Amino acid sequence: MILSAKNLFKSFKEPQRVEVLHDVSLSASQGESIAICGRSGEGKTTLLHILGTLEEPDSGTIEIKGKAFSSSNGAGLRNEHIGFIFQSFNLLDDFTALENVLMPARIGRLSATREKGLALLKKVGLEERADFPAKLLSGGEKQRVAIARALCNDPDLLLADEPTGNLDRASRELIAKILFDLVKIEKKTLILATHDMELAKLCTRKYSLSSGHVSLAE
Amino acid sequence: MFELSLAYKYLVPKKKSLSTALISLMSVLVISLVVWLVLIFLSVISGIEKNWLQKLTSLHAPVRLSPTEKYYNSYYYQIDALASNSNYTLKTIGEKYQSPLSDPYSTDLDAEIPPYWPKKTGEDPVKEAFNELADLKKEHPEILFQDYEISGALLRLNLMSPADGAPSFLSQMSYLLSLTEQNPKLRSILIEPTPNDLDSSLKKFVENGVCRIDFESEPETPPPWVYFVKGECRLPQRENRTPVLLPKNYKEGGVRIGTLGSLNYMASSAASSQEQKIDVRIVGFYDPGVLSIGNKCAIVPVETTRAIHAANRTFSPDGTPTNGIFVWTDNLTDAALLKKEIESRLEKAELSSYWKAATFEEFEFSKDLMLQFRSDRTLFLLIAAIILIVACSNVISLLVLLVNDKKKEIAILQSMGASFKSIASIFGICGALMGALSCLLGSLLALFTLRHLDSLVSFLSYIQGRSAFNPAFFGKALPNELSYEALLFVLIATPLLSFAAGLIPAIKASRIRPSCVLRSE
Repeated sequence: MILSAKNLFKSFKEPQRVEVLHDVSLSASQGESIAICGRSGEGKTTLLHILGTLEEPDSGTIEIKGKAFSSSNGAGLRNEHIGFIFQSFNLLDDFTALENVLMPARIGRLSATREKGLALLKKVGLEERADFPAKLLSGGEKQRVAIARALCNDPDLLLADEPTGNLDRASRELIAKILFDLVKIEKKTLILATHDMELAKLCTRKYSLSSGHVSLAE
Repeated sequence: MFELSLAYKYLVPKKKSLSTALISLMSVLVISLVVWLVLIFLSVISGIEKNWLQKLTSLHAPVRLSPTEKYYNSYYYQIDALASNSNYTLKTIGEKYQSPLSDPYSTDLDAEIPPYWPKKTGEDPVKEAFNELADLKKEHPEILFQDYEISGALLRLNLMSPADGAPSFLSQMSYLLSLTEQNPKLRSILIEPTPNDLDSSLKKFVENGVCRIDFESEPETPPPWVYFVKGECRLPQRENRTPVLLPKNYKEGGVRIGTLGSLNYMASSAASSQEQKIDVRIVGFYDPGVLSIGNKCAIVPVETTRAIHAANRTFSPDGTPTNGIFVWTDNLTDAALLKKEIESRLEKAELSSYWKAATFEEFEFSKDLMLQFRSDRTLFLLIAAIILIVACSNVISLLVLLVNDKKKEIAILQSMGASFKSIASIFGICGALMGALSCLLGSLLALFTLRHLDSLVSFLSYIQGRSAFNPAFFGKALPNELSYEALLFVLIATPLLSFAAGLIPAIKASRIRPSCVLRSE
């Protein structure tokens, strides 16, 4: 089991109390792809952040590869086991594509050679853009660099928040292909939050998030 | 180390964040200016202090051994008054050292020792003390030592009125310090005579307009002024007149080399007291430094002080012992260590009750000045630290601005697994880097300024229309040597304070909740 989340509760108190997650339990095995669908504001991003240890639930437990998440080990778990892909790419603009890709390795004090970075960029077809400043890349390219960066420390779990939301059709298809190839070929576990039904259909499991409850969708 | 590279990237000015770049530049400039100011100020102050110390210890050695009351009450000191071998006269330290007899008393020749007389115990404290110093010199060849004596007499000089050439007299109660040839500073405090300093009868000794003072071998015709042969001091004695060196201020009173006069003192006999007279000739002038009695202190051959010492006792006005042993060392900072070593040797030789060792920091005439120097130094360092703290707190506002600007990047780094500690380190390093850069700039600027300090002082004097710094206090020129103590202070304090200033924004940065920032994007 790569991810096991049990009885998650989360609510926001400001400006008024809103319960975002109510007794949510979810698990994912290696090589699985899971889509979490729902309308905007239903809490898909919050659920993804909680699963990715970026945010703590009010209650409930999360285990990643058998290690229970606590406030003290969140950073280590993220660096070692989780790769994030965001809708707005979230690259570091002052760095080149290659530097962005290798950043998780440098954060984790792991080997961060140029060869390693180039190999990761090659996976997403962007080897020739290695020394481009991140801010000069196109949207699709940025997202591919973000995927390469998410793969840097060879994580078990990829969490993608609307990964194709800001892209044109061609880029969407390319990103989707890359992501699902990673699941099929490299047996990565993918959890993506999306309201792109075409993308959701490609997943092995599809959940719907509504009023804080998660239910298996058709 | 990704924290360092990120800190570097954040600090490099960029077009898109011009305001941050400007504030950052201003912060660096302000800290650099403060570093510059602190370095210049502390360097000049420390240089002035060094100059004063040199002046204080040029006539008096950095370490002094003086006899205690126990010595004066001891058998070895008192016995000379009873011994015919000692001419029934109390002896000075130098005389005791040179005397072939430790105990001059003879049962055949001298009167019986009274029963209340101190008992003879242990070894001769003077000879033993000199032996201990000689042993110490074997371990530390750089040290020099010699006994000294201070006496008092009325100095009378026969002068010619500069206006009409009529005879006039100068009378001055003076302290007489025995010439200490071993003093390594002696050459530097003696003022080289110029033809204008000479009495008209001595002009024939001037060679090519120069009064030669240094000789490689004993000159065939010795000059009538103080001179050195291979660095050894010679006071020329002519016509049976005692040579005297006077403080330089006497020159202004019309005294010249060759001026004749006398030293008058009272000598008591059994029935009355009589004025004694020693004929003297002025052979040179010296710089007395900042000694409180310096301007009244003449340097004479040791035989003169001994003659006066045998006739009466002199009390110095500031409590400086009138007889003792000077110990010189190359480095003033070694004085305390040297004193300890001497004390421990005297302790082992069971002589410590006869001698009191003191460094220049404890001398009666310099103690207060030394204490003042020390508290001044502490005060100046405190002021410097406060100014530095104020300057470095500029870093806080800059880094808070930077943290607000980089919130998104901080959240992204956290999503990749950067810990709170790493995030805080980035901004702490930013602060320390700014401090280090400012420190470097300020130090270079200070070095440049110190190198051209004379021009700066001239400029200040020109603006004020008078001398900006009184030479009496600051010397001919302001000291322009960089103080390594001050440099060490700014090199450590500035990056540390900047780092500490960077910690506040760093803590703010580490508390950013990545999910909030990333959700709002």
